[in-house]
Amino acid sequence: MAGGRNRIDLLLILVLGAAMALDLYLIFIYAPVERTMGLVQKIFYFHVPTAWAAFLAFFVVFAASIGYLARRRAAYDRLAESSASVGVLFCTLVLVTGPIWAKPVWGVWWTWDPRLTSTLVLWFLYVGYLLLRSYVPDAARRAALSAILGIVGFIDVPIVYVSIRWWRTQHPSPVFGGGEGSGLDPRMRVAFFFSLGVFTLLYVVLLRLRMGYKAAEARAEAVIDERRRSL
Amino acid sequence: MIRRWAGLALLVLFLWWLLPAGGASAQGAAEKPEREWSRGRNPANVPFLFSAFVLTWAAIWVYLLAIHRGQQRLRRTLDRFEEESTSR
Repeated sequence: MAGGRNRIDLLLILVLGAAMALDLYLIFIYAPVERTMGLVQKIFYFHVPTAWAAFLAFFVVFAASIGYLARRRAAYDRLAESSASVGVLFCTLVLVTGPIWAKPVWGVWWTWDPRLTSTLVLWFLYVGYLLLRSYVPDAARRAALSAILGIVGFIDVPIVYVSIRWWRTQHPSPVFGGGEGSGLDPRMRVAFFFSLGVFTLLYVVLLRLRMGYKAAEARAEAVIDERRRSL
Repeated sequence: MIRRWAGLALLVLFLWWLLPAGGASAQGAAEKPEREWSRGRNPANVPFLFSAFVLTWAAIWVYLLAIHRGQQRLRRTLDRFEEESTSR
């Protein structure tokens, strides 16, 4: 079983490696340079996909938290924890690459704009989720409390998404479905959607690795407890 | 425990540094004319692109490395426990 899982992980990593190499080609060679911002606009191809991967990760936390509260199975809790951990990584990358893109384009690293602020709040919510998990020693209580936070915290995800439609912000309008003037050059679209796929696959790989580690940790704890009791 | 508090202190310091600068820029955001926002715009900002790219992949590798080290630590703990229980 574990061997089969390892083989799937290895296969996924190999596919991911090849996809990443192709993604780099599409981003830096195939996609044209944007007229106004120049080369720095290429940050778009990993800034937006990392945001998408973070949203996906937090949605999985939300769904797994509901699953845990309904069925009380440790596997749901492990899925939620692992997804939150990977989601925080991607959300951190959004908050790092965003200011790096903003500085040459807007002239400032950071502004308390609704999109940026709600994303920072989202990051704090899920860092809080992980901190909460490390401070509650009882497993059942930890799982229940973090499931509640995992459900409540997800409220901020749609707020981040619609913030650029609800309020006038410094952040650019949506590239797709943003009304007149929105849209992408066909080659940029290819690079963007491919990058979106690559980051989704990266999320799946990281989630599987993290879940494998957490499952091994749980098994080791169970073995240690059992041996201690028998001594 | 000390490491956690040090991390929290660093985070608070970072926010404290960020808040006045961000607040000041947001205050005037609506009134600032386009040319002022665009000051320092350079179409060929390669260092920015390079740093964003490197940071993204470095963070992913560090995360992968952390999982790997966690697995190794787990294996060492189990081996030690195994040795202790057999010696008894």
